[in-house]
Amino acid sequence: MGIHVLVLFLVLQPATGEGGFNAGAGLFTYGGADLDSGLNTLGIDSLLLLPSVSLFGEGYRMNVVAQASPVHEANGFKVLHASGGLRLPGSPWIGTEAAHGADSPFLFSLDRPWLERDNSARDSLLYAAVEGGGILGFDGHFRAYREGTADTLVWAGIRSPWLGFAQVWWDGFRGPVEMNALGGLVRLADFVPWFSFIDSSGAVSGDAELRGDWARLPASLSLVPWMHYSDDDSTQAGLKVHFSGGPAAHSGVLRLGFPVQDEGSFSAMLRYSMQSAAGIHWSTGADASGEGDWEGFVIGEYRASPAGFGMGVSASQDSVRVTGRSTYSPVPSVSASLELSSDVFSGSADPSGTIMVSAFRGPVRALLGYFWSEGTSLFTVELGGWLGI
Amino acid sequence: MRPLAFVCALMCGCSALTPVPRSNDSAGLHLSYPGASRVQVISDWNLWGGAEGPARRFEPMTGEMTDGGGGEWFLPLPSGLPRGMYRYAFLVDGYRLLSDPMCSERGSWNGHEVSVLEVR
Repeated sequence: MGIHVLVLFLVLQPATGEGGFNAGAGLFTYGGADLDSGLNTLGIDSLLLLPSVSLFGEGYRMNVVAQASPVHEANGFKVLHASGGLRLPGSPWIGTEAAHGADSPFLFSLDRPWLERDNSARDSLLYAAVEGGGILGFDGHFRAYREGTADTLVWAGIRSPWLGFAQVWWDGFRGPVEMNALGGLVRLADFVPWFSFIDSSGAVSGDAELRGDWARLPASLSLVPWMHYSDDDSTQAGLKVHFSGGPAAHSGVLRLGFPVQDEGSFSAMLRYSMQSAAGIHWSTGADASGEGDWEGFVIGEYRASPAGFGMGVSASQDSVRVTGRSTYSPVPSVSASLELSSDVFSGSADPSGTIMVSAFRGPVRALLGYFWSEGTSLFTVELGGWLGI
Repeated sequence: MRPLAFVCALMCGCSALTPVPRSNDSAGLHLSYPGASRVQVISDWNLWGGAEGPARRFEPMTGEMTDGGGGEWFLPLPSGLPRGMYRYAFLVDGYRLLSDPMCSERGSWNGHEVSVLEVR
């Protein structure tokens, strides 16, 4: 356990404009000590250099991001990401891309991802793709991923154009992930049904929501019936009530779910936020299930410069925790916060505290933090910025 | 009836419990946060501010919002987003992750509750 000193320089400006060349380098250091063990444990654990170059223009682009670690020689130098792509312009169009250290596959659905990004060992992920589109408005891709000696993951996808009243898309995965996913939406006057179906290694599930203006009430409420089907007996149907706020700065949602089959249980979720005329930002929420689990919170925060403060209470079956927070901003771009928290009713108060100071100047960021709880006391510093050509 | 009347009076008359008018920012994202040193929008569309990018670090300039004065932070939506759902959150002062208080759609990222934007 140590104090951690974190210094980050990211030096590459993002590519903009019609074409050009960008280059830069970054520096990232991470050190530490544990205040309970004494300041003599303070040190730099790592120092990372992050050089980057990119070249781009109409129909082509190349990008390389590397990492070098002068402190931890074991890490040495390695290329985190190297990619290149070509695209023949016009319609129909076709393009190809290859990468080392690629983004792993990701698919979002109605309110949760079908496939979340896998952040493990991404710098060893190889990627090649062929993409095309423009034929009757359809776009498609064929992508292959390979990590080490693992099986190759193939991802094919097709997305329809807006057909005037509907759009559909399909994605299929073969390899370590066996999945077919079909999604779409239909606009029928005031009714806008969204749907998604997924077949993952033989397990079938689906989600549907009936959105649209059909149930928009004068009080800026809208009703969204929904259903989640699963062949593992967790099928639920329910209703979402959205407080869209209208002309006033508040919003919320009440989500109720009921089991369709004998198995499963009732679930409820409430979230509400409001910015008051007095400058207080309120947020409250609660979650409950038919199995008896519940938790809730209410937070009031007066956000102001140079000083603000707030308090929150969160409760569950066996805990009521109170948190106080104050902020101070002596000058623009510099802000500090103090947060103290304790359980007020349980046998163990479990107190904890956090002090954070942040400062930004142009592309440079500095963060300083102190975290304290029973038996733990950590101090962190982070500094980041970028310079490029 | 007295408690109910008291609550009604409190809700209607107390400025601490009366919402202010919503800012006219329909073309972009907005957060009211006076005292913040910087606010960024991190999302599926920008690899979560670089946290899911090649360097796996939050980039200080990615998704940076503009302070329109008085701590009212704005950012226009990226152009050309295909129809679909996108998760996003505000990163305040480089370390505090907040969902959008003016968005009622909720999702999760990395164990945090975040907001979901529907692009039609």
